[in-house]
This record gives sequence, C-alpha cells and structure tokens, in this order.
Amino acid sequence: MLGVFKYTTFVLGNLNTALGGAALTVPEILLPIGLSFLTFQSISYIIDVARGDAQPARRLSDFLAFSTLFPQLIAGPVLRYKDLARQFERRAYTLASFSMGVQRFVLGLGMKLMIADSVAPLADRLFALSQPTMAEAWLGALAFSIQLLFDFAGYSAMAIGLGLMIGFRLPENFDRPYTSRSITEFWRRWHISLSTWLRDYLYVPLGGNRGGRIRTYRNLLLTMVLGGLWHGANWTFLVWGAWHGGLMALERALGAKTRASVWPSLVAWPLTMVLVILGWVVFRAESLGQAIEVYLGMFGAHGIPMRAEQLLLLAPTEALFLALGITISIAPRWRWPDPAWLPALRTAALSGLCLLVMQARTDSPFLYFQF
Amino acid sequence: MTKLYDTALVLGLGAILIALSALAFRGAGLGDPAKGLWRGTYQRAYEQRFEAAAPTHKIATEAWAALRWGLLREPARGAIAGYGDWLFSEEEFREPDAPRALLGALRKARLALSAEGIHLLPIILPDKARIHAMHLPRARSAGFAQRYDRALAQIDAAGLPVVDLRSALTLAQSVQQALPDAFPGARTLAHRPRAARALIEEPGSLTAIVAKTCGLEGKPEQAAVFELPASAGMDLLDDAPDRPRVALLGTSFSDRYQRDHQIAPNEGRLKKTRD
Repeated sequence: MLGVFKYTTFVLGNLNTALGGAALTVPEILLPIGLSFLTFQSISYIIDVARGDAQPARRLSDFLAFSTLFPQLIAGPVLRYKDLARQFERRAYTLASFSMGVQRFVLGLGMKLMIADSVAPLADRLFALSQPTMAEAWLGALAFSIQLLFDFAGYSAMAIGLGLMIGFRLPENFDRPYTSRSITEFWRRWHISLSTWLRDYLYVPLGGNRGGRIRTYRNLLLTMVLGGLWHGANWTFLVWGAWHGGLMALERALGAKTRASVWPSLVAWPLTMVLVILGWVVFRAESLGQAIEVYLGMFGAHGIPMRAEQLLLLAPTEALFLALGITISIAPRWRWPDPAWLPALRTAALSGLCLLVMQARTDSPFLYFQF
Repeated sequence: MTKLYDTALVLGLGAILIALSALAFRGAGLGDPAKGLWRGTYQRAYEQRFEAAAPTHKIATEAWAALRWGLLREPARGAIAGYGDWLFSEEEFREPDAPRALLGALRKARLALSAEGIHLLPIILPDKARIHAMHLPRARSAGFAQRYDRALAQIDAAGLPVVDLRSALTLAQSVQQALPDAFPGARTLAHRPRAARALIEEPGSLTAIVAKTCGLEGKPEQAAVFELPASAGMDLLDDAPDRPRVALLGTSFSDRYQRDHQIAPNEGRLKKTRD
C-alpha cells in the first residue's frame, strides 16, 4: 500500500530521469492522510499477533479502533498493538484523567499555535532564499528546528491528551530531545514511538547487533535510511536518514553502547545540536539542490551577516517566540512550587490565548500531516 | 454471539456514515462530488464554514492585531512598520524575480501589441520603499537598490522607450514638502476638505479579470464620488482643461476613468486587449 501510494511517483520519476526522457507515464496519486502511520500500525498488529506478543483482537470494533484511533491517526505517536491491546478490554474513565487530558491537550495546542506557527513564517522565508548568507541560513535552520519540535511534539501532546480524555494511555513521543548529548540519545528522545517501532520491527529482525560490528553498523544505517524514506518519497529524506544512521553507526563504533555520550563532555551538547540542525536542513529542503544552497550559506559561501531586507522582514513575534521556544526546549527540568490551583489557571489562560490566536490566524496544518 | 453483534454493529455504523457523508456532500453544493473530494474543496468549504460560524472571529482577529501592534509595533502579516507608523508592503523586501523573466515578457507583449498596431510604453513605478526610504529603519541592500535600474535596463534591452519616474517623484515630494512653507495659507488638494457625494458600485477591470480567470464572483468595489470645487488658486495642480485622452491599464478603476472621461471604446483598446 505504501509502495503504491507513496513511492510510485518517486520511482517512476527517477527512472525517467535515469533513462533521460519521459518514457514512463508518472501518475498523479493522492496520498491518503495518515497513511504512513496507519500502515505501520497495521504491520505492528500483524507482527505482534504472529509473534504471540499480543492476542488477536476479539472484536472487529477493537481492531478498527486500534487502526483508526482518531487522536493520533494523522500524525502519531505510532502505536504498537501490544502496548494498547489490553486497553481495549479495560480502561479507566475518571474525572482526574479527563482533566489531565484536557491540560495536556491545551498544552499541545499552545505549543503548536503560539510557538510553531509563530516561528514558521521565519523558517519558510529564510528557506526560500536562493542564496542565504551564513546568518540567514543558520537562523532559518534554527527556526525550523524549533518549529518542527513544537509542531510535532504539540500534536503528540494533543493526541495523548485526547487519548486520556477517552480513557487511553498513549505512549510518550518526546522527551526534551534538544538536550541530547549524542545522536544516539537524540533518537531515544525524539519521535520515540517511531524509533521504538523501527527498533522492534526493523532493526532487530535485520539482526540488530548480533552479527558483529560491521553488521551492526549496516543495520543501523539501513534502519535509519528506511526510517527516513518512511517520511516521504524524496531523496532529501533518504539523505537525512543516512546522515542519522551514519552518525549513530559512528557513535556505536566509538562506544555508544556502554557510555551516555561518546563526545567530550564540553562539546557533547553543542556538537549534537549542530549535527541535528544540519540534518534538519535536508529534511526541510524541497530538493537536494535547495539543501546544498542552504549548506553553502551556512558555511559562508554567500556572505556572513543578515541582509537589511531580512532584518526588516523579521517580525518581533517571530523573534520573541523563537527565543521562547529555544529556552523551553533546552531548559533543565526544574521543579517549581506547584499549588493545586495553578494547573487549572494555567490551562484556562493558555486555552483563552489559543482561542484568540486560532481565530486570528489562517489555516496552518501540522507538518507531520504530509507523512 | 457478541462477536457477530459487534461486527453487524460496526458494518451498520459504517453504512450509515457513508450514507450521511454522501448526503452532506450533495447538500454542500460544491459541484461534482468526485472533484470536490479529489481537489480538497470539501475540506476547505468545511473549514470556511467553521471559521465563518465562529461568533468571535472578528473580535479575536482585531484583538490579536491590536495586541501585537500595541505591545510590539508589529503590523499585520504582509506589512512592515517604518518610522512614524509608516507602513510598507512586505513584497518590496522580497528577492526580485530573475531579470530575464521581465525581458521575455516585454518582448512578447511588444510583439503581440505591434501586430495590432499598438505601441507599448512600459512605465515602472518605483516602489514606496525607494521613494520614502527615509521612513525605513535601515536601508535596503544593494541588490534591491539596483532593482529599478535593472528593470529599466531590461526595457531598454527590449527596444522600448525608457521612462524613469524616480526624479519626477522625488521632485514632487520636495515640492509637496516645500509648498506649506512657501505658501503658508495655501492648502493642497490632499488637505482640502471634501465630502463624498455618493457611493457607487465600481466593477473595475481587476475584478473582471479575477471573475473571468478564477470563476470567482466577488462583490463590486464601492467607490466614493467626490466633488472637487474649482479654485482659482489651484490651477497648477488641478486637472488641465484639455486633458489627454488615455486609457489606464491594470488598475481597478480603468473602467471608471474611461467612463468619467468619456473615452470612446476604440480609444480604450489597450484595456480591451488586456481584458
């Protein structure tokens, strides 16, 4: 199904390019929304049942509810059947969990509307430059890094919140990924449900780390390349997957299996962030050509400072919410004194603000809807 | 038995859902259902209805805009704030298109119009940020500063007459600034109090183009009709009695100009060609 809907156009288009013409007709295929997530979840059901990790769904409604669980259907978290199978039989509905669900939902909505959507125009504008300067390219990449985190983690928080409201406990998908000190750690914190899925259903069946060092590196690379390709039929995703797979293989070679980070402690965090941001450039770019232009900009090929026009176009809210997003994403987890009334007040204030902004802005789909 | 009941219930619910959806699609009146689904117009229509139905939409939009302007001096998207609350269009700060595109378009237009016996005189209006650069917090970079020169060079390269409006506009600006000092009692046209005589519906050429090309029937523009009292002291800036008979291209008010100045249809041929 994924092959037909997602990769036919890509494969035929590349074949045409390789053959130097338009010998093959490339059909226009609409991608059904949430197809990648639906396919992965269906695969998980088949494998979990076949392996005996979970019992087959007893009723058709249970299977359909798992396949199309609406809170997360479109953009994750990717569910594994074994994590949810029992919840179809027994769920707890309490006012406390409903209230927690509402709070989580509003928090996710705030992440999306207040930060991701405020920073998005900046990232779009800077990525649209044909020859960005060093400052423009880095600012664009940084803006996209924040936009993507708050957009996707926001959606996941909303999905988890909605799940709680109807009695499901969905797995967490993010755990402060931008505090990671290695790429290996980053993948334990970013899109956790996908990395867990890839580990269980792809990396382990490929042999994992059981066939010696070279096979382990190959499996890491292959898993991440396929994970990249899962995001979309484009060379950019393939390169992004190879970049992360290659870095994970390198870290494994340097001893990542036994140490929290293989990099010297002083540079571990900044180096990891630079590597992640460099990866986001090719992930965001519409083509490899555009990615190369941004990389050239990042290394100073088109000048250093921001041009006057870009400074004039930089809206105060873009800068403000970018700074807020950076602060939130890298701040240590502090334990604030949290009186009982505070969560309710916080949620009420945030939902009021979200209601205001949501109506004032035009449509802004989630980034992961396209996958 | 439970399993069978469950399966029947699911299938029944599915059937009801499909039937209701089909009825809703038909009721939406968005043309061919297959195309509506295929092109996403149903989704858009649903969102628009949702947005229109929100009772606080207008208030929220204005409150958010007021909050951003009040706290951060940030105008609505698409505008840039300069000194003294001057506003500029964002497009004046975006990267220019490839110069070759203009040259190609000019040559094409020139050929097409020549075949009809029409002479093309392209006039590029300098953008606001160029003429009123003093109201910007910082100067635009060289690439933008040279954009007007590049456009004129393209016109020249296309073998067409070149009209540079910069000096005229700068001069006009200086005159406008100097007038109050030179004639303290005098008021320019812009300052003369006027009252709208009536509101008329203005079909406008751009509205017509949008209607024709996009199939969108927009509301006709409303235009106020003013009486400009003749003033003996204002002859210099008022309309000359013997006005040149021309047709404007590409403005919303070409039709109006043509009508008000009683230009014969054949004299408005340029506009007709454009339409």
